[in-house]
Amino acid sequence: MRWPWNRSRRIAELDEEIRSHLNQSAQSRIAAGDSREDAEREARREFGNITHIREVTHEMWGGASLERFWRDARDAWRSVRRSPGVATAAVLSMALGIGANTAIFSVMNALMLKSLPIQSPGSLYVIAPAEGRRGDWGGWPYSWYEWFRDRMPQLTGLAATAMTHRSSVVVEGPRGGAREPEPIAVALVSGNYFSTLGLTPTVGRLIDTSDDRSGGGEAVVVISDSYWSSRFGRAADVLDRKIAISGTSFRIIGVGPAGFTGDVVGEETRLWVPIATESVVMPEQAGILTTDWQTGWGWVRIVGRLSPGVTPTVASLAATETYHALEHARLPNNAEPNRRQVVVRPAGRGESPALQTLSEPVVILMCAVGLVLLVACANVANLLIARSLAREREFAVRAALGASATRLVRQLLCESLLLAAAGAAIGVALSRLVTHILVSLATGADGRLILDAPMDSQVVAFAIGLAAITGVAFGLLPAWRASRARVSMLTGSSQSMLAQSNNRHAGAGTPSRLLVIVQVAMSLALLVGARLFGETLSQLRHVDLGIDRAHVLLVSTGGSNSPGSSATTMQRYRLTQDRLSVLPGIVSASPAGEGILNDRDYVNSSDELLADDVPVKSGLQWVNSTVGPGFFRTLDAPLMAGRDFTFADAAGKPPVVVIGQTLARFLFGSTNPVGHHIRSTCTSCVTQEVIGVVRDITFASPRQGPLGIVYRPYLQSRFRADSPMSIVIKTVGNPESAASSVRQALQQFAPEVPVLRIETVDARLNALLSTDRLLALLGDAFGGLAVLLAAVGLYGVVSYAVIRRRSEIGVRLVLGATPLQIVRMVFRNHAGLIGVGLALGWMAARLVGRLVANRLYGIAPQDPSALAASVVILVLAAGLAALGPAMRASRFDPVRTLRTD
Amino acid sequence: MLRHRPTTDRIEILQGTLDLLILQTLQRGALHGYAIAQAINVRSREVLQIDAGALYPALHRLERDRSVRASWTTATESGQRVRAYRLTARGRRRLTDERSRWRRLSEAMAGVLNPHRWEDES
Repeated sequence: MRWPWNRSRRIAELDEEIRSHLNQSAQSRIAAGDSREDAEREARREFGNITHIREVTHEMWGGASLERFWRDARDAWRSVRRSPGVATAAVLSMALGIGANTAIFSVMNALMLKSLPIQSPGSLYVIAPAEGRRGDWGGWPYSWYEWFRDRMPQLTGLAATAMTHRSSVVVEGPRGGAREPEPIAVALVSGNYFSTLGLTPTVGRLIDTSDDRSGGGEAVVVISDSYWSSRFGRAADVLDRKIAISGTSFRIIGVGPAGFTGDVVGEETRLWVPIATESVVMPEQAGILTTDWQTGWGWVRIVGRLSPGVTPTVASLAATETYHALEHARLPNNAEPNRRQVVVRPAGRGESPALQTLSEPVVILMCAVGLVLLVACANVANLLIARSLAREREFAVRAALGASATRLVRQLLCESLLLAAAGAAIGVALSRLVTHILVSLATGADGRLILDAPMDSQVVAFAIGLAAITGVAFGLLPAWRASRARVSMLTGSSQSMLAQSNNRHAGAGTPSRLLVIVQVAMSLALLVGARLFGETLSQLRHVDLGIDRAHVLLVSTGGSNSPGSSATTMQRYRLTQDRLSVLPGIVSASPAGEGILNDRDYVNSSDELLADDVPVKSGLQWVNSTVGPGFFRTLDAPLMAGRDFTFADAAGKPPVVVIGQTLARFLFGSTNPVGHHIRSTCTSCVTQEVIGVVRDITFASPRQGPLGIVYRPYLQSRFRADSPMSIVIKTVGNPESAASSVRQALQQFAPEVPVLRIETVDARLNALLSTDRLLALLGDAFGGLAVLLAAVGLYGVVSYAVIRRRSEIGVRLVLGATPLQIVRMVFRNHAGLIGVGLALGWMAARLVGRLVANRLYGIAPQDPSALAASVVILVLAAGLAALGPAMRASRFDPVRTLRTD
Repeated sequence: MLRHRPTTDRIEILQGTLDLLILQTLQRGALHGYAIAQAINVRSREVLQIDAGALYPALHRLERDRSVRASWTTATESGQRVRAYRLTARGRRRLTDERSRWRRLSEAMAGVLNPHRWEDES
């Protein structure tokens, strides 16, 4: 008898039982000589409150939570439908609040919380340098990997993986033939990679140690499940088909497990090949397998399983020791004690540059949407309090009829949960859209953030949890009030009932006012945060890049798809420079090595610099940049001393460099560096003469801070057979109009080089600042939303206060108060509320400032102007919100207001 | 559990005692709610007056525990349909338990409240 459909029968039965009790009681009284009416009345009186007894007995049926839930839900639905306006406002508020939270959470989930779809992700660890330098999220030479692998029992199954983006991937065969339009992420993996991760193939087999033999390796490839779907339509005959990578045919031996797109978040690996095939996959990069022992150059990630009984701390110490032994073996003559630390850190959630750059903003945004939700909750609570006031009579009647306080509380909570659930449903739908926009906004300069932020169980659980918490949070106050409903409230008019509950200050006024204070405070904190991010973005946009940004075009090309010697690459550079410079509308062009405003490939050199053979204590990070003659002229970066490179600074001539201003000051102080020599501590490095000093150019990003730059002429550099090339071009007019002719020219004389991007400096800067833009944009959106919600809340409170004091205002009007005085009075009465809210908000804003200090640029976290601007916005919004009710109060008809009481 | 009536010498019954009273009353046969209340009233010489607001929740709780079972029958005296409760085997066991607990309690109370016996024994 536990199901809802039995309930109505049981209720009827209980009613009959009670009726029969009353009958029996009455009959025995009649038998004792009472009249029928007396007997019946006395029986009823003796029985007591029938409704109450019925309610209490229902409770005894127990195990009825489901049916009780149905009943409550049905009652809640009916009561919600009775006031559609309030319901709509509440649901919309919740939809916005929960939607924003769910969206940010699903991105956070995908980035930071979700585990990789591998076996026991918790025990997967990565060996990485301790200092969190950019680009260092896992870059070792392969030979160093072997060193670690053979010497670290603390980690088992140490595997190597390196990622490359290939622009020349061709699926061969009947349905293939065309080159993939976009570069494809290819992972080079050691033979034990898949077994370390504990993966099983969907089809065929995965790469194993037999495929990865030193000195070549099998030309076999494993494709990802999603690539199998998109490119092969999940065809069963996919095995043994061929995919050409960089001109070499690879045989497909298997399809990876569904959902697995590599161990890096933010990238989508589509192909896996044995790392031993590196020289054919990356013909331009001969030797991550062999030659990089000395230079320390490499991009192999080392992952493995923590051995049983080993803690990450112990493993980290062992890894550092192993690394120091390696450095000692590599540089036996280096007397300097090596202080670099190596850590073994969890990798089960996937690592990536995206994680590094986005995790902090995402946490900030999560806090921001949390505040928005708080404001939205306060709003809904206010709405419900107002409504519960209107329903006070209903509650009093129900309490008098025997409804228990818990019953009333339960029903009201059920109503608020219903509203929250409806809000959550709409919010979740909304969040899909927001997530999509968010991911596309967050996509960085490389345009390559591939983030799958699905609606998984975690996200759904989060949304449901939010709905439950908020439902209870904003339902509690009205429910508590309802539980105190008393029969005494029924005496007298509803007007006096309101007065009764509010003249004492414990009435509805106080919680609503408190909620408005909270709303104002949170809105101010959000607004200040948004101002800080907005100012940061505009500061970063207008930072002095050290170049003429109005007339410069930046070209990035991928690596050539055909192998070639260092000489042929140099020839192409020369050709490029010559051909582009003579195009109409172009002043000059120069190869630019790593380019400018390139925060992706920016790797600091770990070596020290020697000025005239005297080591200079490090403290300044510095980078190498390979440029052509005319580079500085093209960018309009003035030489402070010395001369520019010429075509005469070629191979065979004495090696020369131009150094940036900051580095010059650092190495040589006030001495003119021209004519002096510098050398880096690396063993193969030669002494170079400084021939010029140039004003600093922003190399990586506007936030980079002081950075030393050593420019070397490409004519004196050795290139790996082919490396990506950047070109800077100075145009006569609008650089954008020259873009198409540049692209045409490049395709004409260097068809084997894929042109990745041609863009203006501002476009490049915008892409670099995508995270800042995201924060500024969403900060404004959330701040605006919060202010809007707070204004609505204030409007409600003021309207209510005005109605409450209607008679008082009436008296004032009769006594000669002008409408303006009334408006002023209403404003004055609420100024305190706003003031307290602003004061609290100021404190909250200080906290916000501290939280986001890391992300700010060119503005102090406690910037007074940001605070002032936010206060002005809030005060204006508050004034607008209060104006309506205040005007209404000033137009009260005194006679009518006095009569109603 | 009893409605408080200041003018009478009826006393309130202890929490949990109502179940024992009901079970004991039902020992002699099935009875409906009103009859149970009346039986207790009569047997306690009108000292214990069972409130309907306590009786019905208690009956339904006992039914949920499966200490009693209810069925609709026709009352012999009035010819009216009534819901009669009867003890189950489980209810009988529970009655035994509750009785012995009550006996221990009343002995203990008597020991405390009767100073002569207390002094004799000590």
